[in-house]
Amino acid sequence: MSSKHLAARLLSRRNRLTRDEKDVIFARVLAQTGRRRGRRWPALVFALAGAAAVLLVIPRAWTVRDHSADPSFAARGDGSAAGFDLACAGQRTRTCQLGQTLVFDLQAGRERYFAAFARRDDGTVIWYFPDSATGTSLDLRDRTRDGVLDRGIALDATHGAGHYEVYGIYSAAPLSRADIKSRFRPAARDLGPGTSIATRELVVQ
Amino acid sequence: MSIFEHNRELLDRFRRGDRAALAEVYEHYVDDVALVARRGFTMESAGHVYIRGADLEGEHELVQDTFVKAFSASARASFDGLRPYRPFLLRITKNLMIDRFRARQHAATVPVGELDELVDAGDPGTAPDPEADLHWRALSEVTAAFVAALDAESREVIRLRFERELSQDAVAAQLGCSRRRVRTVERRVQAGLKRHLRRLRTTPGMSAGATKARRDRRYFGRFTAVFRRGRLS
Repeated sequence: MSSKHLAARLLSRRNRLTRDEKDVIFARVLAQTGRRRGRRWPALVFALAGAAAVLLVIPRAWTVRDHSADPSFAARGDGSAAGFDLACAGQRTRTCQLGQTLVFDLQAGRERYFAAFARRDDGTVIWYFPDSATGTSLDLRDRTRDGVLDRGIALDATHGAGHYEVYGIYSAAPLSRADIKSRFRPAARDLGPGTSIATRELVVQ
Repeated sequence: MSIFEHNRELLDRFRRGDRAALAEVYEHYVDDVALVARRGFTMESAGHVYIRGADLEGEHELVQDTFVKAFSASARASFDGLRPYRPFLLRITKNLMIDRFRARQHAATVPVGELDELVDAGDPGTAPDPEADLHWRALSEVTAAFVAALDAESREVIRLRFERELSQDAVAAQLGCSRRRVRTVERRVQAGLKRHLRRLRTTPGMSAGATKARRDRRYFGRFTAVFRRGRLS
């Protein structure tokens, strides 16, 4: 049972779905109905989503396109480095369908903060975390359960289809987008001491 | 009244799978579906069957599975917009609950044909669950006392965020503070409440509640049937 949801219901003084619960369920419904027919709802989603208790889908507005990104945001990294995995519809995969929710399965024991963005082949950069120009990377304390981040990315029309390189940045201190841009160097495996970068390929169809 | 009545444009978008239309339909019916999933339902036929409601996780799963089925491409395409939509949704929910009930019962205890007849017998609505209601009331009373002991700022954040379900941004604007402050207060109160409830469960006076809570955790996907005329198990 999700104690967070139970606490929210008790505080609302109503034993019924809260706004957050409705949003989480709807995101899962969309993710499932967007998949190909005939496939079973993968066990991974039950395991991960159940353990994560809540999957907050980043609304459209949170995925900000940054066409004026630094050109140094070029594809790099060995791609095989561990650090995080991507999952859609409950399966670790590099290929997701529009309408699904992209989930981050993070490696335990990394640094406390996590930032992520995706770079499409045409150079478009989509920020995942921080979710705003003034925000900072996510504090992973209380944000993961069994390694699964409690926020996912809605792969909707705004995100768009295409071939992406997803960059995950772990750091000991919170980083803003500006911090990341200023310290990012092509082919570098980190942004400096206390940071590390991992990449994953993502195809959105 | 069905949400599609006199709204051909919504029906068209719904059948195409337009996300906004799906969201509108979901919002319109999700509370009804969740109510059945949470409270269970009774059916009259050869006997009186009570399919017990699910716990919080089970409720989520039932609501999700109901809408996944209802929003599938084939279900959307085949819906004509003339039939009432709520009974259609609730039938899906109840069938899912019965499937789970069957899966957890010995095959001999519930004649499959009989349950099918019962499902087809009509829409009896939700069933009261005095035990669950009592448990909820007990938790609510504890929570009310906990909230009453909070400082004024925390109480106001709780009222706006949880009772009125305003966004953190809206609450921050109303209280003249930052969103981060709202989030901090919200997390602190939730964590405090959880600790408070955990402490109470370990006290002698709450032992019955603790037993109930443990049983609640096993509710996931588990339902019981009570037959007025003879128990089958």
